[in-house]
Amino acid sequence: MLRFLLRRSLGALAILLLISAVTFFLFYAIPRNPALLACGKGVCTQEQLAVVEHNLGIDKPIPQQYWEYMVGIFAGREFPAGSCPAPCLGFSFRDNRPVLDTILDRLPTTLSLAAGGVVVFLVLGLGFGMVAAWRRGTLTDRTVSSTSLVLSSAQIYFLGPLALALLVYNNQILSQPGYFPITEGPGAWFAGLLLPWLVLSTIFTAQYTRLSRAALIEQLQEDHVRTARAKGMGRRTVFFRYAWRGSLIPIVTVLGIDMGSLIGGAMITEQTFALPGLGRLAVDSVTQSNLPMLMGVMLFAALMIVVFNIIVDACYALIDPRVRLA
Amino acid sequence: MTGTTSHNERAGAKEPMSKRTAHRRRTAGVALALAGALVLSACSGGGGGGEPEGEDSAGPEQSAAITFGDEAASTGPAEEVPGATPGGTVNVLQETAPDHLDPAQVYVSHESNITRLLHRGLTAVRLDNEGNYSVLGDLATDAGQVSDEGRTWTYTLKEDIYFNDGSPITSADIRHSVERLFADFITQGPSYLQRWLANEPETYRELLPDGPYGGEHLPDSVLETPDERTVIFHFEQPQNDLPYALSMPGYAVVSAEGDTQEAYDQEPMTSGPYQIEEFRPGRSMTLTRNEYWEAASDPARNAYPDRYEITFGHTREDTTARLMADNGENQTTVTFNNGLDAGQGPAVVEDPQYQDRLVDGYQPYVWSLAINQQTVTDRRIREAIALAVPLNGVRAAYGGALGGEYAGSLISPLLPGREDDYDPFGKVANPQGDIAGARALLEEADAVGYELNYVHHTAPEDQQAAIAVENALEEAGFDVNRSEVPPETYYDTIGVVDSGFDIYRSSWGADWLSGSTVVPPQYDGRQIADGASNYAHLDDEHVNSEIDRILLIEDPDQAATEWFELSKYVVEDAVASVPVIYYRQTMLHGSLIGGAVFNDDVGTIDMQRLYVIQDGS
Amino acid sequence: MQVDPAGGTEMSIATKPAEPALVGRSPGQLMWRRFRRDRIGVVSALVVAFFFLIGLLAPVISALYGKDPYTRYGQIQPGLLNEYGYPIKPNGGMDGEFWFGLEPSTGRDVFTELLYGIRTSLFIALAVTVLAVLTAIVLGIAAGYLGGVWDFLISRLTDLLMAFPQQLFFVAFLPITTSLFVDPREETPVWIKVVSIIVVLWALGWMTLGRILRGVTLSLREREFVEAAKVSGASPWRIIRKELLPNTVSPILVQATYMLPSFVTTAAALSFLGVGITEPTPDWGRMFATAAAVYRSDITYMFFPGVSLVIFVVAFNLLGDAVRDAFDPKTVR
Repeated sequence: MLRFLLRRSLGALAILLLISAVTFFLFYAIPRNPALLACGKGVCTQEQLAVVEHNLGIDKPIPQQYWEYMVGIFAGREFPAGSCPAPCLGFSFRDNRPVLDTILDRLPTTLSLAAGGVVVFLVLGLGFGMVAAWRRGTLTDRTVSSTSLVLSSAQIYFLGPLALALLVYNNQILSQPGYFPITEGPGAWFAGLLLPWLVLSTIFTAQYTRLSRAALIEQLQEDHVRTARAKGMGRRTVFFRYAWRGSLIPIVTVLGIDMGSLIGGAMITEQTFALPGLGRLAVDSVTQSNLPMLMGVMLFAALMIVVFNIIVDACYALIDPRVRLA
Repeated sequence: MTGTTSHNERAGAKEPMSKRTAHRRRTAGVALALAGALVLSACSGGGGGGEPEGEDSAGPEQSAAITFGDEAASTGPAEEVPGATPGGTVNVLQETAPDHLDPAQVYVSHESNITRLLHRGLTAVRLDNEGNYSVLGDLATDAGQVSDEGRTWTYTLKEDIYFNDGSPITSADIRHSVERLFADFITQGPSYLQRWLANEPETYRELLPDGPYGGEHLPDSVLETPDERTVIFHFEQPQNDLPYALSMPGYAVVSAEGDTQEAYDQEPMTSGPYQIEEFRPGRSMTLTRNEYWEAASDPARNAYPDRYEITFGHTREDTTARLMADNGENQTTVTFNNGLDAGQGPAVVEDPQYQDRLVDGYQPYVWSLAINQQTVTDRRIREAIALAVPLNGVRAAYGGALGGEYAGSLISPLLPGREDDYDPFGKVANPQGDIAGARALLEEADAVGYELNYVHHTAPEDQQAAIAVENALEEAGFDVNRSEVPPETYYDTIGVVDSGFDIYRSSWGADWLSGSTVVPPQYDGRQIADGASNYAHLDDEHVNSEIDRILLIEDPDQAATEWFELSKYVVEDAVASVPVIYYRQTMLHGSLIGGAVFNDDVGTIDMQRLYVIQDGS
Repeated sequence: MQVDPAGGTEMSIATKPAEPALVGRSPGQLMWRRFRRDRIGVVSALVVAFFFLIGLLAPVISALYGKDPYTRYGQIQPGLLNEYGYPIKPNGGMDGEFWFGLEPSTGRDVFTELLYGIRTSLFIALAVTVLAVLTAIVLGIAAGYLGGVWDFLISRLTDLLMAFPQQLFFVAFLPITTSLFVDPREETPVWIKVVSIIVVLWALGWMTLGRILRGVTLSLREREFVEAAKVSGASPWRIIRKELLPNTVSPILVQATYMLPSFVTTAAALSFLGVGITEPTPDWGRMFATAAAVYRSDITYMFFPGVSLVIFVVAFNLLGDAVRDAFDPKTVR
């Protein structure tokens, strides 16, 4: 297990290094002056531009800039406008603050959104999938299947405003969405995130319903499951002990991908419900042309994806003892 | 870059675009603001694309002479707001977090609105219970003692004034605050005072290149601090507007001892009633009381609440929805910058249940389309542009009647000396634009198919407005090439003299209640330069000589009328700019907020008068 | 083989396996016969075709209908919009003249806006799909057939691109791609915006299919008929063209039918976030951004783009299932 983790971590590190390089070069090597955009609002005179260029370090050759960026991650950096302790993911000149501080500030919102959403769609999605598979071919199955087909084709930017109009504004069934730290009151936290969770997980629930139903049905046709059934084991036992366990592998794979990207920021959900998470930070950074911030968010999100990939692989071993992490 | 903050972009680096900071009394200003909301709702019932009635019916005319507060008026504490009780927490919903906390870097309104709670300057503008505005001494004992025909201004500091670390504020701090304005890193704040002191519009920094940090100081012939409590400014030209300028948040006091230069932008010391307990950029800011602030020394701030909890990242939609809900914390919530959004706004102003929670008024900005005089040289073509521009198309982009009112002149309704029904091209009456008239003029000039290079920026409302303008112009027979640039480079782009662009928006607002902060900065032909704010590049002898003449007029009422006359010449004869809309701001506040009135001076709800209604009474 | 994990393993509602064919038929004919018997598949194919037809014929339809998506009818004709910019008539201003109502504020005709919006979106999605499929074919088959260093390089490239946070990548790199073509101070022509969107979506759109094709090629390479071709001295190019490519048609078709609607929704999401196609070019996705801003005063506006998008995606997914079933009747259902 330890060797596996070590090996995968090295691979992940290589990927992250490459991503950072690609992003960095695309961001800073383009034929326009990033300093002009980094000036923020207002206008830059030539002399201010020179100062900004110097502050950004873009008066140096790009490979050297990249090297300094990489060194900064491990050793921290000093900028005229402030210091950026390790791990320094960059320094935002718009608000004169290390990028990582802002990312960590936004992270709880995104984590809360992702965690709650995952709980809802896993419980509902796997539940519905099991019901549909158990009662395969019946009216229940057909209802669940077709509903989930339609819902999985819906989009958050359509469902979100619709749900807000129906559940919040016109009927006051749910309260206005918003983020309140769980430390300041779990009640407010829960109430503020309930609608975003529901909307976010509606589409995921539909997808996981379809996924788990198909995986279960496939499992039920596997030889070992059929053998067990033939040997006289009860349908219920076979279903839950063998088929269900086997169906988890594809689900965990997809879940890993989804978790990784959700924690990198659920942009559309955060935008729709005005939640100050990483996704909105990214969108705001784009509209403000805050390249250092964008670079940091990109690296952080890539890290999450890579980490969850490793977790998924480790989970395989837990689910199916036959998988060896060699 | 949506909503109000985009209206607050700055103009050229040397000529800060303007945010009116003081203006004279306008009778029943507050009542007027509230009446505006009612008028708005009254005429919307009929629908039919009707015009908002505007303020014509409500506004008793001119203003009394401007009030400069004497020593008695400038002595604290501030006049009590009727019914107000101290204590409680006010929540503030904002869209954009301040990028700057150093007062000298503060200019745009979403930053200055917060700064007004934190910092004090030599003077301040106060809206009193009767709705009158006056410039008072804030740190100083009065609005300023003038001599030498406006060339020398003397201020005496009060005694019980302190920074939030308990250190007293002395004339050395004022000197330091002024001198550091010349340092390289102070780039975002206003530059009036610096230019006046240096008597140099462009190169004022040469007066003190490193600020006070190289050991150099301003000579006594410019700034004198003979003792701990006296500050004397010497100017080469008369500067009768100094008390207004000094009330700008950008000229608030910075501690000489505590100045950390660039780092002051993260952790400033404060002199006002509050200090920053915690600031999470982009997220939230908590203001708590500054224990060293003495109410008895402050005539301008009531500072009733114990705390301000400011949160950022709220869109206008989100803000309006929360304030409409008016539950829990939202009952004690206000916003400084988030006007009603276009989606929910109409429902709010038409629903009687919200009427007593609405605050409504004009922002100081006028949306106008500058016509480059150097490239579009035929007056008939310029008039054709003026006729064709669809006021309704532009206003629709800013939320219709909620976002603005059709403009006939370049002078905001907040300023005196106006003719309220001035509408030279009949555009207010016919906001679709006069396409046929424009085409006739083009044909007369034999210029059908005339090419116009039009630049705007990429914020959604600017795009939408530009498309309406483009459509109308093309229909009238122009050939429009539309370009767009990012908002952050917009004023840079249009500030270049040979930019090659023919038409572009320039939103301008007076810095204080005088046409002198509207006409000369925009239309003085001797100030055409890259980065200067004469975006129309108008160089007209009549305008130039009139500017010189009117600047010397001492009677403010007469000057106001004359400025308006001159602005009429700019619109009608020179056709240098097409006035389109006067921006307006309508906001909701929570039901447990008291003292909420629109302050024309800050262009939003008056944050100094707010209080929390205790026990729900 | 497992197809796209998110969209492929599930199955459609009905369909019976095809009867064993008694007469000799080519796999293509068999597939077509099986497909024709799948009623849901045929209906969804018709729906999908209808959308493409709408996009293709948008100029014709709007000419017959007598409106265009650019004119600000509500602003030019008094009496259509109120002072806040909302339609005066109920239900978003729907009437005999403006079938789907008027867009708030600009006063444009929603019906033609949607037609042209669908046209823009489908063009983008189709272009991305074609490019991504071609890329996947080239890189996937190269990796599978050539093996060795090529396989290693292409597989690592795939891994790398898969680790990019997708949405973030699109949002962050779209403006940058645009600025590769034009200086940010200059006018950006519409076609450059379209090309930028296509390029960005393409860059991260080909990997799933590429992996599948690599796997298919790897297994085919060891099969007898490929071996036989090799022994008989066929050139690698001929083997790829004659022996490998025909056998990849099925995964390509299946995968492409899942890819296209996801490109439509992704491009729409970009417009929703404000980085996609800009005014005044009509765009399906931007209609959602407008709808999100005005829905509290005019929810009707959201109805047409929303419902049509759901129908489109559902139809396309059903079509994908049907195509897969037709190719591989053994799939679980």
